[in-house]
Amino acid sequence: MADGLLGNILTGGAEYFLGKENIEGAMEAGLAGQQALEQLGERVSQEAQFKPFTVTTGLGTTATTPEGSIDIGLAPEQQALQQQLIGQATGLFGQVGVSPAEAQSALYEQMRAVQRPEEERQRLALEERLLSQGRLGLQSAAYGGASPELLAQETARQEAMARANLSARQQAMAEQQQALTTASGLLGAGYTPQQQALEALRIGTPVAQIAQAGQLAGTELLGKAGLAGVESYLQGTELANALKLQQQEGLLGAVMGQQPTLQEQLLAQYVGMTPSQIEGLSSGGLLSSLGFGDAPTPDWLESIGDFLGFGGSGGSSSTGGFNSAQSGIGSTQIPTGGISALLEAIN
Amino acid sequence: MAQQLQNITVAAPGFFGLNTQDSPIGLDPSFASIADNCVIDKSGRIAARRGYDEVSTNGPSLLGTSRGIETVYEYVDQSGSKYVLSAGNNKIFSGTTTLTDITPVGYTPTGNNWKIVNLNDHAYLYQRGHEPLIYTDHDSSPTLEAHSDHSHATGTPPQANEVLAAYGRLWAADVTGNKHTVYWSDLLNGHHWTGGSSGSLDVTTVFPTGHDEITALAAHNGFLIIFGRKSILVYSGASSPASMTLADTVEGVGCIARDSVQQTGTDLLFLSDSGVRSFGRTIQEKSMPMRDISKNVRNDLLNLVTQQTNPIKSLYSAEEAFYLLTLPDNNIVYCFDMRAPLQDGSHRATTWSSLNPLSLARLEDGTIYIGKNSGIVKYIGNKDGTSQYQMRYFSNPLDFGNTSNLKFLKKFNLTIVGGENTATTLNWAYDYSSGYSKQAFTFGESNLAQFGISEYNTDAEYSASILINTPKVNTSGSGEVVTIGIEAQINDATFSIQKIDIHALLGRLI
Repeated sequence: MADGLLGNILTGGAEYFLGKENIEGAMEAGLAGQQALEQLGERVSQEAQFKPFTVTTGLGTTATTPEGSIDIGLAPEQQALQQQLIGQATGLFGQVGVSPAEAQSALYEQMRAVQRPEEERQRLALEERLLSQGRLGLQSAAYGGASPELLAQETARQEAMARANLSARQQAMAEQQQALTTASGLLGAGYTPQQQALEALRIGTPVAQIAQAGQLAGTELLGKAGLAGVESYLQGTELANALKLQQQEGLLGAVMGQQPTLQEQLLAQYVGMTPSQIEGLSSGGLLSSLGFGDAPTPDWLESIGDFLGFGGSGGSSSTGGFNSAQSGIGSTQIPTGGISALLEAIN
Repeated sequence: MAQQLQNITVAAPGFFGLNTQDSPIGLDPSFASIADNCVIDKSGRIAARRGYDEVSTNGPSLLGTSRGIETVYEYVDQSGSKYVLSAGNNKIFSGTTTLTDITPVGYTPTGNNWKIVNLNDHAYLYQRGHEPLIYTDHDSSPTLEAHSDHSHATGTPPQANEVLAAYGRLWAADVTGNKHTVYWSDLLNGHHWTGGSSGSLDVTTVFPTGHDEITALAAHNGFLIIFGRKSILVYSGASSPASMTLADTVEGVGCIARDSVQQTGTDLLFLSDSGVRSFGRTIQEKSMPMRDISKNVRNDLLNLVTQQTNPIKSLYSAEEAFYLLTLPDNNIVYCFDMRAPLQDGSHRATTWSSLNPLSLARLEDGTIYIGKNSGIVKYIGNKDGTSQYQMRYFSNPLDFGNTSNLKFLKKFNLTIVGGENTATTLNWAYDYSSGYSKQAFTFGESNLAQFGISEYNTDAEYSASILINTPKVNTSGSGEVVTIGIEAQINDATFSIQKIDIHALLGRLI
């Protein structure tokens, strides 16, 4: 083991260097994992997106849209039927919306139009009878300024008018109710093709869900697999970092010497070794073997150091440690571009 | 050799009344060509009509220069009180001896041709173009007032010219501008013209002639008779006017004078444009037989009727058994004896002149009041007021059953009932000549027995109760037919021609 300040400096520098390398490696591995997970999420999201589907029957075609809406396309016959039924319903709703008084008036006129001819015949007959009896021009206050026959006829006429009026009212209300019922029925019937199309969509939806279920399952599997890959990558990266650290520490120990570990020190104390003996447990490194200490480092050694990458130029470079360049020692190296290759593999 | 005188008797001469319609040749000698101021008396003789006595004393002062009393009517209220209403000089009077102007204040009549009827304790006065008047004493004070002023009046009555009280209500017709509608009041309320059972009947479409004008109304035989000028409508069930129906129509005969309609009980008399007609009363038959009352004087009567501008009035007197028809513009009254019709259905007709009645009224007791220019007079006595009047009887030309022989009249033996102090002239003429030979004579005075009258210490009167005069008149001349006549100045004595015996010598054949 190299004694002295230089050795400590070299050892501290090397350890610092190794720690830094490990931190950077861990950072790179974390970033790579994050990117991989983001890409995985995006892909899973794309894969899990709703795939519109279409249900086609003899009544028409019902299609879903990516936005989640439904586009119902009825067959021309069904569309015509729908228009016809809705048109009829609209007409009937128009009747429903008519004022009861107007509907009553219209019905009353129809009823009176039926009654008037017979009333006119009766009036003419009465007129002829009154004429033959010489009573055509008779007026009596007791009979409202007319003859009893005329009053009776007029009373009957007024009663008929009143009955017609009442019947017209009732009939108007009944017809409006009937129109409402019929219009509602027609309206419902008018919407039937649409409902049938929606029903077909409802029936077709599970079928579409079968396909989507596979897609979703694949997406879930992709997600899981991707996540597992990332985790595996991170574990590998962690292991590689640990192995690299261990390798570098071994290499550092081989170069710089090695102090007994705390466990070794405790065990040495336990067996009764003196502190000098315990200190004697420290192994000398290559530098010590090369006479590092107070003597200057020979050139060949410097060249070896440079070769090993302990860097530094001039005098100091002779005391420089390993740089971050590839050491070219075994599989502990972290290949440049490995993360990209991993993400591509995930993708 | 002298021929034997033949006695030709004309019994009850003129008993058949006037006959100016048939050819005189062959006519029954009982027909007369002139029977003026005559009636057929209760014994079937032709006799002088009665005269009149003045009833009202203040007539001239009230009537002024007007025609006189043109309407007379006796109103009897439910208590039996009697009021004589009369109208003249555009005023309305009440009273008999003293006429009192009762014209409502503020009411100014423009005529005197009122028709007055009595219904349910009210007298109703109607005249064309005038608001009807109501006379009643149900407030213990006889009052004449306009309909609108009557406290119980309702509605607006028609200003009709004709009004009839029958079947419990008033019937009115002949309104200016509407001569085809009959109006009737509420039951028992002649002053209720709205509400109740009042009403009207437009008969425009009922007249069989297509168009006519209502002139008069009458109730007869349970029917309502509506007289048009040229047609008559007969309605049954008028007691309930709202349901009355036409029962019969008469076409071509109508009534031309409102006041010519008179009810005799068995007949309904009226003046048509073809003379005086009557509806006979029937019980079983649907149609009422119609008779021509004035058949024997038709042309003369109608000729005079057409000349009338003033209202024609009439009167039926059951006591006198005559129907009078005045023709005021000619100062002639036709008198139809209603005792019995002649064989042809006509009635004996005579005429009255010099009486000049403007209106006639028969009172409840049978008294006949006559409206004259001087006021109200009473048909009574045998003088026209204080004046004598002339009765004239002329036969138709008589041939005594031999149309081809000359007749030489030798002597008349007359039998006159009454005629005390009556200047009489016998007239005769031959061969349709109006140049009469005359022989005047005067019947003497006679004291008729007076039953129940004490004439103690006077000359007893033992003569017959009826004065019979039998004057004998020698005559001269000859001819194929002979017309005889008697003119008598009625001087407060009855005068009836019982018989005319004619002694004639029949001459050679012509």
